[in-house]
Amino acid sequence: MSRGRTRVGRGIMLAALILFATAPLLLLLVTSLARGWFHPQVVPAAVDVRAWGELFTDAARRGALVNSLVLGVATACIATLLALPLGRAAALGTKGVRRIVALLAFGAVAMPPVALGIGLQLTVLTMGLGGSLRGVLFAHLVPAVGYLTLVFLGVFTQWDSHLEEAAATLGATGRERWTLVLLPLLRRPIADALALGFLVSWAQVALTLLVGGGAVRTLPLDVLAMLQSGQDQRAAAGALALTIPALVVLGAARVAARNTTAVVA
Amino acid sequence: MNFMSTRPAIVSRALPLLMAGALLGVPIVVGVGYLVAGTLGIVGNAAPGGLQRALTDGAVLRSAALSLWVASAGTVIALLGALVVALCFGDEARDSRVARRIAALPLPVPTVAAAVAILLLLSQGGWLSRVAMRLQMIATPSEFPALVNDPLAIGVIVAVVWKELPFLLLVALSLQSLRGVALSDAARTLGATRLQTLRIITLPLLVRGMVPSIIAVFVFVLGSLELAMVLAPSSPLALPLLIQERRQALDMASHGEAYVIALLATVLALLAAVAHEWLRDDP
Repeated sequence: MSRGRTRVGRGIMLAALILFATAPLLLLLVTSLARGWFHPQVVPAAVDVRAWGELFTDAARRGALVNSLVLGVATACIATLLALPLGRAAALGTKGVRRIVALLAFGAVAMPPVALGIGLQLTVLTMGLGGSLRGVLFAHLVPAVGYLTLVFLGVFTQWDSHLEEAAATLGATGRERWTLVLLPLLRRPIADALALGFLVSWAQVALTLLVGGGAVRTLPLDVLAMLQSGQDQRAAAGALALTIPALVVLGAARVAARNTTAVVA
Repeated sequence: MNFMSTRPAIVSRALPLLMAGALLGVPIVVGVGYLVAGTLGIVGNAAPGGLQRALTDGAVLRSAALSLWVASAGTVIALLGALVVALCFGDEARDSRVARRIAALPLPVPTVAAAVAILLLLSQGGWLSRVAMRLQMIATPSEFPALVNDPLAIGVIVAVVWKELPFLLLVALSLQSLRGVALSDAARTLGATRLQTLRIITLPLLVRGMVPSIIAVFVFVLGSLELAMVLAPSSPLALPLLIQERRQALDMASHGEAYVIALLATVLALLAAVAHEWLRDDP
């Protein structure tokens, strides 16, 4: 009797959890495909994919999508290149060094984006990059490098350096140790870092708004603009377009985690 | 032999600090420095005296209270939800694996997308309102309770819980798997009931391990602009929106207040960063 009750309780909890996690996403999907879905209709009367098509055919929306992609890819690559050596150098340092670097990295992540953006705006304007894609990229790099430094600090704190030592003993140069030992072993953490760096930039609103000064339109800003002008269908399509790469990245990271044999972190 | 110990000690200390200083410290120092200069009226066309005005301005205090309320309530509810799910579905049963996978779905959803989804669900013209009308629970959309842009910021809190519960759940599950069941088993062997084991052993250990993540969620919510833009009330404004409003005001005195509020929010975030680092385990 008690076991039966437990099973029913778990079933109810599981159903509630499924509803909680999926309902908002399903609603986004239905809204993005619904034509003229007015209150009090519970189910849309007609389906159309116009809002999805516009993401690629409308010049302004396509421009926003392209800007987001360019910023995401550039942020991911540059932040990974900067954070990997920083995380490694910090992990090999003393506990005090690790703490200071982790503190700075978390500080860059934790600073309210609006406050960080005000300071970065000055820097970007001084560099002559105000309202440009390069200026926004510079701004996105600050939290991205913070996040990725924390990732690589974690990776290298638990790093087993025996293989590097063996390679060095066998005469490998510093460069050979990087290319033949470290980078192949770091494939998964680097892939994770690229994904995370992309997502930090991909979802960024406040820094783009402040440093871009309205001249750089990205997909999240486009979604907000659509929402504020009452275009729910377009806003929902944009919001899902923002979500799909993020879900793909999460899925890919899980598959990589299952398939990888060189788990370091 | 540690391979890297061949590097001179001064280099292994100075190199990471120099790199961290250049890549992370400079933007933070410039950001904070600009806010301090703005507070003092040196830059940004701000009239001096912003600090005193901001600290005595009722609107600023109400905004701070709203932001702190949203961050606290959202974090606590997400934490409770994560603990319940972790304790109920932390085992290796098939439905537990399904539950964990489903619960993780909102994790990678960008905040702005989460805000749009919650708006479409909870607003007076949203889907729940339509269902309530179909069920004849309400006659007009305005009879549906205001759950979005409402004074208690319920919409923001729901969005925070939806978005952050999976993150805290992930942390709770990994802590559970690291901790194992040895302590709980020992307590049960010594005669503790299941409830006592949960209250005295399991929950305190889990929550203690989760403190850095709880701080991270709290700070993130406190500074989130997009949640406030879409779901928060227009009076009082959430702190990030108030900073924006004061900065864009025509009145120069308001500019100074914007820098003060941004500086206070930054100090709070940096204190949280110190607490986070203090409480984080570093082997």
